[in-house]
Amino acid sequence: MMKQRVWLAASVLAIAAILSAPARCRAQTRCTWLNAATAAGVLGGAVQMTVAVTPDSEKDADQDAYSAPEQRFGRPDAVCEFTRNVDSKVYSLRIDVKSMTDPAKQFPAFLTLCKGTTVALKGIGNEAVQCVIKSDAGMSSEQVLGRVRERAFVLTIVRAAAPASNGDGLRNDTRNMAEQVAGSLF
Amino acid sequence: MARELRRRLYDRFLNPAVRKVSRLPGSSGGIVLASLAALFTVGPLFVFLPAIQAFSDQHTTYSTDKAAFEAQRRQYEEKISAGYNFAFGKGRISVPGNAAVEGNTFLQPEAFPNASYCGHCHQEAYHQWQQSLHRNSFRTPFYRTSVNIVMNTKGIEFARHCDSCHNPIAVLAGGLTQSSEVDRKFDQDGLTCMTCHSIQKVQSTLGNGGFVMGVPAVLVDEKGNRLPGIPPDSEILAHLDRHSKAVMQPLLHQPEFCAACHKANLPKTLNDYKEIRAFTTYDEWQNSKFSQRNPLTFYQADFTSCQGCHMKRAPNLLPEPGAKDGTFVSHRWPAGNSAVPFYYGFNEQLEKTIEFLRSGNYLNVDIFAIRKGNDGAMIAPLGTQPFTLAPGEVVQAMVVIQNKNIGHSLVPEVRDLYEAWVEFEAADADGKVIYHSGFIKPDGSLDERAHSFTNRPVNNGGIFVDNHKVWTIHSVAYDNTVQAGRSTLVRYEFQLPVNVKGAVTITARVNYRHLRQSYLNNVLGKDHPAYPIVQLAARTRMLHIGENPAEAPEPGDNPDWMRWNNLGIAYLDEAQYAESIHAFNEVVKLRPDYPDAYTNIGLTNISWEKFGSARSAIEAALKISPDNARALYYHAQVERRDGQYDAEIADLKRVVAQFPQSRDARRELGVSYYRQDMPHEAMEQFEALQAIDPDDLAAHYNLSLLYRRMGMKDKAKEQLTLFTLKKVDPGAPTYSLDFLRQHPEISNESKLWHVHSDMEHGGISGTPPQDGGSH
Repeated sequence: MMKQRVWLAASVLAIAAILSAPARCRAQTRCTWLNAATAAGVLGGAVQMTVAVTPDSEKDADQDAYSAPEQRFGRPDAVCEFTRNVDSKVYSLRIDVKSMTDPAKQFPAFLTLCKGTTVALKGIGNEAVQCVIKSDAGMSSEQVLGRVRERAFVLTIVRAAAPASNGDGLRNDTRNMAEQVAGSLF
Repeated sequence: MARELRRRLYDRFLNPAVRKVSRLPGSSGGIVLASLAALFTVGPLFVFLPAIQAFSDQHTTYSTDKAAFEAQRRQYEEKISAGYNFAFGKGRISVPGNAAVEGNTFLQPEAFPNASYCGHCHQEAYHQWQQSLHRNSFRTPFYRTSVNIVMNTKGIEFARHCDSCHNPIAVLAGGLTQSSEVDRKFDQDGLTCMTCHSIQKVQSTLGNGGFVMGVPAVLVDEKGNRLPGIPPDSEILAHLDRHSKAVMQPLLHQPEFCAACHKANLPKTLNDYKEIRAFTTYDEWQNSKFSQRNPLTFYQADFTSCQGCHMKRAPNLLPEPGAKDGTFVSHRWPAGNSAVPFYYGFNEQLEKTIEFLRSGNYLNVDIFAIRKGNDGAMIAPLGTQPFTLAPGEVVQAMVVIQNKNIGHSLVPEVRDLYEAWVEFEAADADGKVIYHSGFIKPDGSLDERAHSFTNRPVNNGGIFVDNHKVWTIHSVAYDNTVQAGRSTLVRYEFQLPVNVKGAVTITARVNYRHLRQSYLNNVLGKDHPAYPIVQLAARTRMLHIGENPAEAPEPGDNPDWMRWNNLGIAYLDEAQYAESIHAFNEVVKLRPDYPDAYTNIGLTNISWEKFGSARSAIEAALKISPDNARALYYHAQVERRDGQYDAEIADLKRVVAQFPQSRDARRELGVSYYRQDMPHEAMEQFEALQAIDPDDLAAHYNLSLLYRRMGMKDKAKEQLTLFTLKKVDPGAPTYSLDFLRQHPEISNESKLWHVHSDMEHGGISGTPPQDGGSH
């Protein structure tokens, strides 16, 4: 009897979760922009992955003037997040991909998402900047904000601060991962 | 710091004291429970978000101990095989590509030391390689756009065709599968040092990654056995000979090494249609004068391999243990790609690329002649003959473009993306343009009516295959490539203004852009910066209104006999046989001692099916040069026609004796033997031919017949299958016609010869418009 009640409660909760979920998100078992093994390499070990895609983004974008349908086929906008728990801290690698209807106007505004110092990057997407975010409580965070045709992306990596002697490690890793993401977006 | 890195690498991978197989915490069961808990806690926010655990492959280890390494590899194979999509058959890890690896199974990517490891000592090589196309073989937007379309529309497993060359580590590591568990950190290095320096042999010259990768090793042991792993510097420095033996295979110096990737076909496993040759740069080199393997070239030259042009020695500026006498072979591999260095801001590579494209006397542009509208007579070679010109006259400029010293075609390889064309301009004394062809339009695209050395592949709907979707190619609407050593004649017709005074300047340029504007737009959207256009070669001449005296040639001009010879070659390729023979006769006048002039007349007559005239010309060549292989080859053709079979075979045997790797001579000798009912001898020739060119259709066909006659049914069947698979689809030209019908603005380019003009009529007198037409 108790077991039945637990299952009933679980079912209700699950249905509630589905119904109250943001309408624009649905789950996917793979991240189109980066595989989990590569993310694990950057975060230093096994990761958990969540992917939430934006329905209709693929369909909507098929009609725009930037990418041919075949260039977007099977690759809707999505948010991928890879996380790894280490000593009660959460290391993460997050990729947000969003389509723009007017990149010339929207992308500059998009860049204001960076709350740190920006450094222009060459050779990533159509354009990209690295966003250096202040380290906090033993953790470091770096971002790259970029554009591939009509799509903007944000890559954010958070992990333990490296020793000063290895200070470029996260910066390089972020740049390399941004290159992977941009490459997948092309 | 580098020493510290080396120590850490050694500890991580080799030192038994610290060697371990890492397994990171977190069981899948635990993760599921955690996920469920999270779901019920934050259910209102998210739907079911699958939790996936993955391990980075960097946590596997290996050793210089071969047995330990093999054990590691088996473990890796088991892991990858479990989830690998063997869409093309069990064990076929790289199909539709041809990449192979020793051991015939997956190879962990960590087996390849990365480039910075090599660059620690080989600083010059590392510096050059970083900006090279080989390093950037995978990551560039230009490549990723194409391969992404394959992956997204057909499936990632089909990308093994492309990545066998563009990212062999990914293919051999088993990374090209739907649920890849391979950490792709090596992508940024593309073709890293230890991809080329680990290749042990080429399977054949079929291309598509037709190499056999060895397990990477930077040292061999005292017995010469290759040692996997990453040893510390001290080990290498103590055994430099063993280091050299591990990484410097003699194959690296041979042109066949390049054939592994600089040749490609589209196999049926990719296109579900039939095998289509994509590009054949290696074959083009083999047929060029630089290989010294082909007796039929129009000109001769010293032997030069692919490496001879693309890996020239130059003084090294950085420390480089591989340098000899202060020079080091280029690890930039300069060629035509200016787009990649432009995109990445690799200014040094871009400068070297442009310098390379303009060096080497690769092309010759010759404004060979003009025809005037009043009488149509050809004033040629321009500069040697006085003439007069009046305002209002119609002028046809005849421009001969010679592929003089390129060891392959203009343009090679991916002709649907590369853009080389002739820009022709006539301007009056004030600089006012009278006529302009081959200009760039405001949107960055090329004038559709330009004479372009590219091609137009089409699909089965007659639509141009944009975006490099090569698996949809069924036909080629036209291909105006100029093969190595050959020439093409491009005609431009314009009318001088009635009020023109002074001089009219006419300029012909060959320009090159990497890549075609519409492809750049596909890759980057239309808001990208203008990509470089490189002028490869040019020639300008002045046409004076009134008297034009003869003038001295410029330093870069070909001698007159060669100008006529090139015109003859161009006419021959345009099937204008009478004009071709006229041009070659002019060569005879200027150089009566030159046997090829007579042979050229002979071969033109053979093409024209005038065998009697051909014989007398070829025999004139043989009188000057009795052992001339080229003349002997064409002599044999005439003898075959006249039923002189013994003489035919004897001549062809003499050609083969001088040029054992001549595919044409082997083929024709095989045919001769076949016709004389000498099957064993015929088989020997066709098998030799197949060793030179594994795609030769005549070899496939004749061997299928010969094997069957000899009772070798399985081999006969195999050859017949290959012939059927590779022969041109007879229905394919209809797709080309569909395209040309839909694109009248460029359909003239498909005609053997044509006139470029803005004028309404079809050509001036002396140029038969019914054979070409103008546009």
